Amino acid sequence: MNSVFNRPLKVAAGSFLVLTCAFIAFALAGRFGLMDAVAVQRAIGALVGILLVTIGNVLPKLRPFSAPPHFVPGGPEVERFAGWLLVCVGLVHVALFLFAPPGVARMAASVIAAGALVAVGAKAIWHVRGNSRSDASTRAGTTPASPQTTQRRNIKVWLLTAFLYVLLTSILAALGDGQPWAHRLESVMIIGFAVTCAVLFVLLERQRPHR
Amino acid sequence: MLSLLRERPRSAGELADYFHVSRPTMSAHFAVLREAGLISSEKHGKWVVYALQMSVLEEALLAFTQAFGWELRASARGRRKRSARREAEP
Repeated sequence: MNSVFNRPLKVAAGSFLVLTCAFIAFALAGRFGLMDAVAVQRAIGALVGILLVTIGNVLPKLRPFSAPPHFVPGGPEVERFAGWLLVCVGLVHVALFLFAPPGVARMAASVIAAGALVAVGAKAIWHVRGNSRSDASTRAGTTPASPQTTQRRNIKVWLLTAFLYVLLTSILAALGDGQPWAHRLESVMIIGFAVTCAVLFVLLERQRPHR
Repeated sequence: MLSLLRERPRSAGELADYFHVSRPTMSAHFAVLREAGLISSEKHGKWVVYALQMSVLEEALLAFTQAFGWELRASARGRRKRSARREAEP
């Protein structure tokens, strides 16, 4: 267990769990009237920013798509770009929710976070397309995957999927606050998350090396 | 070494060419950096390729340190020039 969870993975998983528990705690405090609604919004927004900074900071070290032997060509560049962008966006997110008026902070932070996700996606597509030809030559000669490294990679993929889900939900909740379309989209997102988990489970289990 | 790896991943031999030290010394340096989690090594056939594995904060600190080092060198150079000028003055 200790060897599967290396230091970056421990930091990423630990901070994700702690911050998710904090979201729930603040949401419950708001629901039961222990905290002012605006203060809850500010706290949750700032926590999303801290989550972005934490995951972004550790992403180039975590190397979900470039750690050997599961090397994706162009992976390190995309991970580095995503890391820097998420850290910057996270800092802006925190600053907006701490100092800007709540309405402005919600809208601006969501648009910036959504823009960052689109930018990372575009960069990933650009690199995968550019490096697809050299894929075979890059993979040649690498050592085969051990059960431990495969398990580690799978945990990273699950973690990033959960992170993406939390981020998308927060963006959606901020953009469509109280709108009927937001409620419909939220239920679609829950179904989408369940389907994504099922597909990931099948894909990752197929790649798991047999002992 | 970190600056070289910042450009792109390099093999052990390629990195060793940049430094006038013995192979065991280089291996010891690689081991220290790998132990600190700053670089990762990957075996490609008979080659060991090293790649940078730094968090955003570590990379920012490295850049800051390099910039600060450059500043120190620049200010030292400026001080030397100023003192040389002072000595040259009658």
